[in-house]
Amino acid sequence: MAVRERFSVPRYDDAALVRTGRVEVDEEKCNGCGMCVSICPGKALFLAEAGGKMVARMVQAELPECVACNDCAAACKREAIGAVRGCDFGMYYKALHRGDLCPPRRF
Amino acid sequence: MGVMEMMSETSAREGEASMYEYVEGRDFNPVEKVILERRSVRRYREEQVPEGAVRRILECGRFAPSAGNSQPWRFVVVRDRKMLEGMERAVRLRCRVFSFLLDWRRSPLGRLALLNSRLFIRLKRNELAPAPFASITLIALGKLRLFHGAPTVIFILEDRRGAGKPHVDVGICGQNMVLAAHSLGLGTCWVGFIELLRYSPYWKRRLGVRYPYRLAEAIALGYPVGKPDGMVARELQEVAWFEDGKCRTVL
Repeated sequence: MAVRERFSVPRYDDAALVRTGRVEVDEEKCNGCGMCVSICPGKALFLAEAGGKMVARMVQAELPECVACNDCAAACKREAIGAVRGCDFGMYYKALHRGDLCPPRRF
Repeated sequence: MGVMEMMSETSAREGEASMYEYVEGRDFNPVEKVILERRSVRRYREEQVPEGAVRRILECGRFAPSAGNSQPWRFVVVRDRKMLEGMERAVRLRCRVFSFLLDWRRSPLGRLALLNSRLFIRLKRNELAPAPFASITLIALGKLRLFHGAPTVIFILEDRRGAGKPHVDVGICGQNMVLAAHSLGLGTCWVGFIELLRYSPYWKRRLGVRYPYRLAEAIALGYPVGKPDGMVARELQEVAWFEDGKCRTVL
Protein backbone atom coordinates (compact mmCIF):
# COMPACT_ATOMS: atom_id res chain seq x y z
CA MET A 1 0.00 0.00 0.00
CA ALA A 2 1.44 3.34 -1.02
CA VAL A 3 2.07 5.95 1.66
CA ARG A 4 -0.26 8.36 -0.12
CA GLU A 5 -3.07 5.79 0.07
CA ARG A 6 -2.48 5.16 3.74
CA PHE A 7 -3.15 8.77 4.53
CA SER A 8 -6.01 9.56 2.19
CA VAL A 9 -9.61 8.68 2.82
CA PRO A 10 -11.87 8.51 -0.24
CA ARG A 11 -14.94 10.71 -0.47
CA TYR A 12 -17.61 8.06 -0.18
CA ASP A 13 -19.83 9.56 -2.85
CA ASP A 14 -17.06 9.87 -5.43
CA ALA A 15 -17.63 7.11 -7.98
CA ALA A 16 -14.13 7.63 -9.36
CA LEU A 17 -12.63 6.50 -6.04
CA VAL A 18 -15.23 4.12 -4.65
CA ARG A 19 -16.35 0.95 -6.38
CA THR A 20 -19.35 -0.61 -4.67
CA GLY A 21 -20.52 -4.16 -5.15
CA ARG A 22 -22.93 -4.80 -7.98
CA VAL A 23 -25.77 -7.28 -8.23
CA GLU A 24 -27.42 -8.35 -11.42
CA VAL A 25 -31.06 -9.38 -11.65
CA ASP A 26 -32.37 -11.78 -14.24
CA GLU A 27 -35.63 -10.00 -14.95
CA GLU A 28 -37.05 -13.06 -16.71
CA LYS A 29 -36.71 -15.18 -13.57
CA CYS A 30 -37.49 -12.47 -10.98
CA ASN A 31 -41.12 -12.53 -9.83
CA GLY A 32 -40.88 -9.43 -7.67
CA CYS A 33 -41.46 -11.25 -4.37
CA GLY A 34 -39.33 -8.62 -2.62
CA MET A 35 -37.44 -11.00 -0.34
CA CYS A 36 -34.03 -9.67 -1.44
CA VAL A 37 -35.23 -6.09 -1.01
CA SER A 38 -36.32 -6.72 2.58
CA ILE A 39 -33.12 -8.47 3.70
CA CYS A 40 -30.49 -6.36 1.93
CA PRO A 41 -28.20 -4.96 4.67
CA GLY A 42 -27.36 -1.88 2.62
CA LYS A 43 -30.91 -1.35 1.32
CA ALA A 44 -29.33 -1.31 -2.11
CA LEU A 45 -32.33 -2.95 -3.79
CA PHE A 46 -35.85 -1.80 -4.57
CA LEU A 47 -38.82 -3.05 -6.55
CA ALA A 48 -39.49 -1.43 -9.88
CA GLU A 49 -42.04 -2.02 -12.57
CA ALA A 50 -40.68 -3.53 -15.76
CA GLY A 51 -42.63 -5.09 -18.59
CA GLY A 52 -45.90 -5.25 -16.66
CA LYS A 53 -44.46 -6.89 -13.52
CA MET A 54 -42.40 -5.97 -10.49
CA VAL A 55 -38.71 -6.82 -10.47
CA ALA A 56 -35.82 -6.11 -8.08
CA ARG A 57 -33.39 -3.41 -9.17
CA MET A 58 -30.28 -1.89 -7.69
CA VAL A 59 -30.52 1.58 -6.19
CA GLN A 60 -28.46 4.21 -8.00
CA ALA A 61 -27.05 6.12 -5.07
CA GLU A 62 -23.93 8.14 -4.37
CA LEU A 63 -22.95 6.21 -1.27
CA PRO A 64 -21.72 2.62 -1.30
CA GLU A 65 -24.68 0.46 -0.43
CA CYS A 66 -23.90 -2.97 -1.91
CA VAL A 67 -21.05 -4.81 -0.21
CA ALA A 68 -21.45 -7.95 -2.34
CA CYS A 69 -22.48 -10.03 0.70
CA ASN A 70 -24.67 -12.09 -1.65
CA ASP A 71 -27.40 -12.59 0.97
CA CYS A 72 -29.84 -11.75 -1.83
CA ALA A 73 -28.49 -14.62 -3.94
CA ALA A 74 -28.86 -17.07 -1.04
CA ALA A 75 -32.41 -15.96 -0.25
CA CYS A 76 -33.71 -15.92 -3.82
CA LYS A 77 -35.85 -18.98 -4.52
CA ARG A 78 -35.52 -18.54 -8.28
CA GLU A 79 -31.78 -17.89 -8.55
CA ALA A 80 -32.62 -14.62 -10.24
CA ILE A 81 -30.15 -12.38 -8.41
CA GLY A 82 -26.51 -12.38 -7.43
CA ALA A 83 -23.43 -10.23 -7.00
CA VAL A 84 -21.22 -9.99 -10.07
CA ARG A 85 -18.61 -7.66 -8.61
CA GLY A 86 -17.04 -7.28 -5.17
CA CYS A 87 -16.62 -3.88 -3.56
CA ASP A 88 -13.44 -1.86 -3.27
CA PHE A 89 -13.69 1.45 -1.47
CA GLY A 90 -10.26 2.62 -2.61
CA MET A 91 -7.41 4.59 -1.06
CA TYR A 92 -7.24 3.92 2.69
CA TYR A 93 -9.97 1.27 2.31
CA LYS A 94 -8.48 -0.37 -0.81
CA ALA A 95 -9.18 -4.11 -1.03
CA LEU A 96 -5.93 -6.06 -0.87
CA HIS A 97 -5.05 -9.58 -1.93
CA ARG A 98 -8.52 -10.41 -3.23
CA GLY A 99 -9.54 -12.43 -6.27
CA ASP A 100 -12.81 -12.71 -8.16
CA LEU A 101 -16.08 -13.88 -6.63
CA CYS A 102 -16.14 -17.67 -6.43
CA PRO A 103 -18.43 -20.21 -4.71
CA PRO A 104 -17.00 -22.69 -2.15
CA ARG A 105 -14.64 -25.21 -3.70
CA ARG A 106 -13.96 -28.85 -2.81
CA PHE A 107 -10.28 -29.69 -2.70
CA MET B 1 -13.16 -43.97 23.90
CA GLY B 2 -13.35 -40.55 22.23
CA VAL B 3 -15.84 -39.54 19.57
CA MET B 4 -13.19 -39.58 16.86
CA GLU B 5 -12.09 -43.12 17.60
CA MET B 6 -15.71 -44.24 17.71
CA MET B 7 -16.46 -42.60 14.37
CA SER B 8 -13.42 -44.02 12.59
CA GLU B 9 -14.09 -47.48 14.00
CA THR B 10 -17.69 -47.46 12.78
CA SER B 11 -16.68 -46.27 9.33
CA ALA B 12 -13.84 -48.81 9.11
CA ARG B 13 -16.43 -51.50 9.71
CA GLU B 14 -18.70 -50.06 7.06
CA GLY B 15 -15.79 -49.67 4.64
CA GLU B 16 -16.29 -45.95 4.08
CA ALA B 17 -14.32 -42.88 5.12
CA SER B 18 -15.20 -41.23 8.44
CA MET B 19 -16.16 -37.58 8.72
CA TYR B 20 -12.93 -37.00 10.61
CA GLU B 21 -10.84 -37.82 7.59
CA TYR B 22 -9.69 -35.90 4.55
CA VAL B 23 -10.67 -37.47 1.25
CA GLU B 24 -9.80 -35.49 -1.85
CA GLY B 25 -12.74 -33.92 -3.67
CA ARG B 26 -15.33 -35.34 -1.30
CA ASP B 27 -18.61 -33.49 -0.83
CA PHE B 28 -18.88 -31.07 2.08
CA ASN B 29 -19.45 -32.76 5.43
CA PRO B 30 -22.20 -31.53 7.79
CA VAL B 31 -19.86 -29.18 9.68
CA GLU B 32 -18.55 -27.62 6.48
CA LYS B 33 -22.13 -27.27 5.24
CA VAL B 34 -23.16 -25.44 8.41
CA ILE B 35 -20.21 -23.08 7.98
CA LEU B 36 -20.63 -22.49 4.25
CA GLU B 37 -24.42 -22.23 4.12
CA ARG B 38 -24.75 -19.84 7.04
CA ARG B 39 -25.87 -16.37 5.98
CA SER B 40 -26.65 -13.39 8.17
CA VAL B 41 -30.40 -13.34 8.67
CA ARG B 42 -32.16 -9.99 8.61
CA ARG B 43 -35.82 -10.99 8.68
CA TYR B 44 -37.27 -13.05 11.53
CA ARG B 45 -40.55 -14.70 12.35
CA GLU B 46 -42.45 -13.49 15.44
CA GLU B 47 -42.26 -16.95 17.04
CA GLN B 48 -39.98 -17.12 20.09
CA VAL B 49 -37.04 -19.52 20.16
CA PRO B 50 -37.40 -22.33 22.75
CA GLU B 51 -35.42 -21.64 25.92
CA GLY B 52 -33.62 -24.97 25.57
CA ALA B 53 -32.28 -24.03 22.14
CA VAL B 54 -30.81 -20.80 23.50
CA ARG B 55 -29.27 -22.66 26.45
CA ARG B 56 -27.78 -25.16 24.05
CA ILE B 57 -26.28 -22.37 21.92
CA LEU B 58 -24.80 -20.69 25.03
CA GLU B 59 -23.27 -24.04 25.90
CA CYS B 60 -21.35 -24.00 22.61
CA GLY B 61 -20.11 -20.51 23.48
CA ARG B 62 -18.93 -21.72 26.87
CA PHE B 63 -16.66 -24.29 25.25
CA ALA B 64 -14.93 -21.87 22.86
CA PRO B 65 -11.13 -21.74 23.01
CA SER B 66 -9.65 -18.65 24.70
CA ALA B 67 -6.16 -17.41 25.54
CA GLY B 68 -4.97 -19.07 28.75
CA ASN B 69 -8.52 -20.46 29.11
CA SER B 70 -9.39 -17.02 30.48
CA GLN B 71 -12.98 -17.11 29.07
CA PRO B 72 -13.14 -13.31 28.88
CA TRP B 73 -16.90 -13.10 28.25
CA ARG B 74 -20.23 -12.70 29.93
CA PHE B 75 -23.51 -13.45 28.21
CA VAL B 76 -26.67 -11.40 28.56
CA VAL B 77 -29.80 -12.84 26.96
CA VAL B 78 -32.67 -10.47 26.21
CA ARG B 79 -36.02 -11.94 25.15
CA ASP B 80 -38.13 -9.01 26.21
CA ARG B 81 -39.69 -7.24 23.19
CA LYS B 82 -40.05 -3.96 25.08
CA MET B 83 -36.39 -3.93 26.06
CA LEU B 84 -35.24 -4.77 22.54
CA GLU B 85 -37.39 -2.00 21.11
CA GLY B 86 -36.03 0.41 23.72
CA MET B 87 -32.46 -0.41 22.72
CA GLU B 88 -33.38 0.01 19.05
CA ARG B 89 -34.75 3.45 19.81
CA ALA B 90 -31.64 4.40 21.80
CA VAL B 91 -29.33 3.33 18.98
CA ARG B 92 -31.48 5.03 16.37
CA LEU B 93 -31.40 8.28 18.31
CA ARG B 94 -27.60 8.15 18.43
CA CYS B 95 -27.44 7.34 14.73
CA ARG B 96 -29.56 10.40 14.05
CA VAL B 97 -27.10 12.55 15.97
CA PHE B 98 -24.15 11.11 14.05
CA SER B 99 -26.02 11.40 10.78
CA PHE B 100 -26.75 15.05 11.55
CA LEU B 101 -23.08 15.71 12.29
CA LEU B 102 -21.54 13.66 9.50
CA ASP B 103 -23.84 12.86 6.59
CA TRP B 104 -23.25 15.77 4.24
CA ARG B 105 -25.89 14.49 1.81
CA ARG B 106 -28.75 14.95 4.26
CA SER B 107 -27.59 17.05 7.17
CA PRO B 108 -28.74 20.67 7.33
CA LEU B 109 -25.13 21.44 8.27
CA GLY B 110 -24.20 20.85 4.63
CA ARG B 111 -20.57 21.65 3.99
CA LEU B 112 -19.75 21.62 7.70
CA ALA B 113 -20.98 18.01 7.84
CA LEU B 114 -18.65 17.16 4.95
CA LEU B 115 -15.72 18.68 6.83
CA ASN B 116 -16.82 16.86 10.01
CA SER B 117 -16.94 13.55 8.15
CA ARG B 118 -13.48 14.07 6.67
CA LEU B 119 -12.12 14.58 10.18
CA PHE B 120 -14.14 11.95 12.05
CA ILE B 121 -13.50 9.22 9.46
CA ARG B 122 -9.78 9.76 10.04
CA LEU B 123 -10.25 9.51 13.80
CA LYS B 124 -12.60 6.50 13.70
CA ARG B 125 -11.37 4.60 10.65
CA ASN B 126 -13.04 1.30 11.55
CA GLU B 127 -16.29 2.59 12.99
CA LEU B 128 -16.81 5.02 10.11
CA ALA B 129 -15.59 2.84 7.23
CA PRO B 130 -17.86 3.12 4.16
CA ALA B 131 -20.27 0.29 5.05
CA PRO B 132 -21.03 1.28 8.69
CA PHE B 133 -21.10 4.93 7.61
CA ALA B 134 -23.92 4.12 5.19
CA SER B 135 -25.68 2.02 7.86
CA ILE B 136 -25.70 4.94 10.31
CA THR B 137 -27.88 6.86 7.88
CA LEU B 138 -30.08 3.82 7.14
CA ILE B 139 -30.69 3.26 10.87
CA ALA B 140 -31.27 6.98 11.44
CA LEU B 141 -33.89 7.00 8.67
CA GLY B 142 -35.55 3.90 10.13
CA LYS B 143 -34.84 1.88 6.96
CA LEU B 144 -32.61 -0.63 8.75
CA ARG B 145 -33.61 -2.16 12.08
CA LEU B 146 -30.99 -2.86 14.71
CA PHE B 147 -32.07 -6.42 15.58
CA HIS B 148 -34.10 -7.01 12.40
CA GLY B 149 -37.09 -8.03 14.53
CA ALA B 150 -35.34 -10.98 16.19
CA PRO B 151 -37.18 -12.26 19.32
CA THR B 152 -33.97 -13.17 21.19
CA VAL B 153 -30.66 -11.33 21.37
CA ILE B 154 -27.48 -12.61 23.03
CA PHE B 155 -25.18 -9.80 24.14
CA ILE B 156 -21.54 -10.66 24.63
CA LEU B 157 -19.69 -8.54 27.16
CA GLU B 158 -15.93 -8.62 26.98
CA ASP B 159 -13.94 -8.96 30.20
CA ARG B 160 -11.15 -6.46 29.64
CA ARG B 161 -8.86 -8.34 32.03
CA GLY B 162 -8.75 -11.37 29.73
CA ALA B 163 -5.41 -12.94 28.79
CA GLY B 164 -3.83 -11.89 25.51
CA LYS B 165 -6.46 -10.52 23.14
CA PRO B 166 -9.89 -10.82 24.81
CA HIS B 167 -11.67 -9.15 21.85
CA VAL B 168 -10.48 -11.97 19.58
CA ASP B 169 -11.67 -14.58 22.09
CA VAL B 170 -15.08 -12.91 22.20
CA GLY B 171 -15.28 -13.28 18.41
CA ILE B 172 -14.33 -16.93 18.55
CA CYS B 173 -16.92 -17.58 21.24
CA GLY B 174 -19.62 -15.75 19.32
CA GLN B 175 -18.97 -17.62 16.09
CA ASN B 176 -19.23 -20.91 18.00
CA MET B 177 -22.74 -19.83 19.04
CA VAL B 178 -23.68 -18.58 15.58
CA LEU B 179 -22.71 -21.89 13.96
CA ALA B 180 -24.45 -23.89 16.68
CA ALA B 181 -27.60 -21.82 16.12
CA HIS B 182 -27.47 -22.38 12.39
CA SER B 183 -27.09 -26.12 12.91
CA LEU B 184 -30.34 -26.01 14.94
CA GLY B 185 -32.22 -24.35 12.06
CA LEU B 186 -32.09 -20.88 13.59
CA GLY B 187 -30.98 -17.66 11.95
CA THR B 188 -28.47 -15.24 13.44
CA CYS B 189 -26.96 -11.89 12.69
CA TRP B 190 -23.98 -10.20 14.29
CA VAL B 191 -25.02 -6.78 15.51
CA GLY B 192 -22.04 -4.50 16.05
CA PHE B 193 -24.10 -1.32 16.22
CA ILE B 194 -25.04 -2.08 19.85
CA GLU B 195 -21.69 -0.42 20.43
CA LEU B 196 -23.65 2.83 20.41
CA LEU B 197 -25.31 1.73 23.68
CA ARG B 198 -21.93 2.53 25.24
CA TYR B 199 -23.11 6.13 25.07
CA SER B 200 -26.25 5.30 27.05
CA PRO B 201 -25.77 5.18 30.85
CA TYR B 202 -29.31 3.81 31.23
CA TRP B 203 -28.79 0.77 29.02
CA LYS B 204 -25.31 0.14 30.37
CA ARG B 205 -26.75 0.00 33.87
CA ARG B 206 -29.68 -2.12 32.79
CA LEU B 207 -27.45 -4.68 31.03
CA GLY B 208 -24.86 -4.68 33.82
CA VAL B 209 -22.06 -3.29 31.66
CA ARG B 210 -19.51 -1.97 34.15
CA TYR B 211 -15.84 -2.56 34.75
CA PRO B 212 -14.30 -4.98 33.86
CA TYR B 213 -16.98 -5.56 31.24
CA ARG B 214 -17.41 -3.79 27.93
CA LEU B 215 -20.22 -4.23 25.41
CA ALA B 216 -18.55 -6.12 22.59
CA GLU B 217 -21.13 -7.59 20.23
CA ALA B 218 -24.67 -8.88 20.05
CA ILE B 219 -26.10 -11.84 18.17
CA ALA B 220 -29.69 -11.59 16.99
CA LEU B 221 -31.39 -14.97 17.09
CA GLY B 222 -34.65 -16.28 15.72
CA TYR B 223 -36.44 -18.33 13.10
CA PRO B 224 -35.81 -16.87 9.65
CA VAL B 225 -38.55 -15.86 7.24
CA GLY B 226 -38.18 -17.96 4.09
CA LYS B 227 -34.94 -19.81 3.41
CA PRO B 228 -32.15 -17.23 3.57
CA ASP B 229 -29.30 -19.73 3.89
CA GLY B 230 -27.19 -21.19 1.14
CA MET B 231 -23.76 -21.19 -0.43
CA VAL B 232 -22.83 -18.09 -2.40
CA ALA B 233 -19.86 -16.67 -4.27
CA ARG B 234 -17.28 -14.71 -2.27
CA GLU B 235 -13.99 -13.02 -3.17
CA LEU B 236 -11.06 -15.43 -3.36
CA GLN B 237 -8.26 -14.67 -0.93
CA GLU B 238 -4.70 -14.49 -2.14
CA VAL B 239 -2.63 -16.72 0.13
CA ALA B 240 1.15 -16.58 0.45
CA TRP B 241 2.30 -20.21 0.64
CA PHE B 242 5.81 -21.05 1.83
CA GLU B 243 7.03 -24.55 1.18
CA ASP B 244 10.32 -26.26 0.27
CA GLY B 245 12.24 -23.00 0.53
CA LYS B 246 10.00 -21.27 -2.03
CA CYS B 247 7.06 -18.91 -1.83
CA ARG B 248 4.11 -18.96 -4.19
CA THR B 249 0.73 -17.30 -4.32
CA VAL B 250 -2.32 -19.48 -3.95
CA LEU B 251 -5.81 -18.24 -4.79
